[in-house]
Amino acid sequence: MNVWLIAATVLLAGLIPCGVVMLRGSIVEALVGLQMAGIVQTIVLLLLAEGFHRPPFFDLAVVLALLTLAAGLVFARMLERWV
Amino acid sequence: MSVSSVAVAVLIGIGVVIELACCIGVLVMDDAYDKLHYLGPAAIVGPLFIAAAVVVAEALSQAGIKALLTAVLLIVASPVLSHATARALYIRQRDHIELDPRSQS
Amino acid sequence: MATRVNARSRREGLARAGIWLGWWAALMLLWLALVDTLDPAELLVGAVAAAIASTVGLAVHQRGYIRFQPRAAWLLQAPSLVVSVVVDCALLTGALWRKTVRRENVHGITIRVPFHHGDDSGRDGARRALVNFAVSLTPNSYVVDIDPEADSLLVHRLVPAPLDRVLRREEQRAARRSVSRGQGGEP
Repeated sequence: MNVWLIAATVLLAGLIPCGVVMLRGSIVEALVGLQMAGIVQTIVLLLLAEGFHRPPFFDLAVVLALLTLAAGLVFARMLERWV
Repeated sequence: MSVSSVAVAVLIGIGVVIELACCIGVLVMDDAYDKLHYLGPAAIVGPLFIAAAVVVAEALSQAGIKALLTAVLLIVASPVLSHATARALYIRQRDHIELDPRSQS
Repeated sequence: MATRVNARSRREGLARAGIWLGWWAALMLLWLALVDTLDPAELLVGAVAAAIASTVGLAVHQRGYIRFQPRAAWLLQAPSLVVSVVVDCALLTGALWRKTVRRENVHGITIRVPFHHGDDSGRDGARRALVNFAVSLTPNSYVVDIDPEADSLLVHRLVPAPLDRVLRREEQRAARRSVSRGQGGEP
């Protein structure tokens, strides 16, 4: 166990408020919760990559950062008129 | 404990506190417009501290560069997502798909 | 006449080659940063991947889908943006403290800021995109909508505070334009 893995574990608790917002809020509030969860998960992946000393895990964080942007834009566009 | 390991711990600690505070902000604020503001520090400041911790630990190796790239991607994405989400909510309220709770009181 | 057409098409060809090479160089640098090796096989794969992506980038540029011509001088605004981000983080921390610890009502407001929309040129398009980006980057505010008919921005702010520098400048620019239109005696 090192400081990186401890931080990643603590940061995972941040997904609980995001989940509450996604379950209990309106659909747009749920999108905000989803985007926050995506940011938290990206940082968790960075911390895990360094904690486990696995350089390929950094690629996961880069890809998740890109996908958080793409997914957020797709959902926002859909929510404008179609859902 | 070396100076760099203390610096890494401090940077990680600040980054994690910022992220958790922003998660609480998203939870407690009343409507989506107010919640959106807390994506900003979560995507801009928090990742910078974590990327800085990785750079202190690994210097500008592949790991450090990828951590910085991840932080830059999140920083660029944050204002785009905030605007897109806010605009979606504004159009929904304007077109009466979703009611503005404050206009009913 | 034929000579002028040849010279113009040669200039356009050189411009296209320059754009393609610029994309290729930037993408190769990114590849080298990500793979962190000078192994010939990796370099070859990176060169081919960058060439394909550069060709797609040039094709998009040629179709004119994206008209984006920023001024280099706009980069001078970057340091003030960094200061604004720090100040806004403090404002949001105060708002969160008031909401969670002191149990006060904290609500943002949407304000309309005069903003000259401009036309479809690359310069005006770049200005709209970068103003939107700069305002939305600072945590205390983001752009909700750009209204071309009313020549204004709808901006949501969580904590009431003086307008940041980007918004103040756009407000002044819009005010100058309306003054000069009034002096021009438009009906």
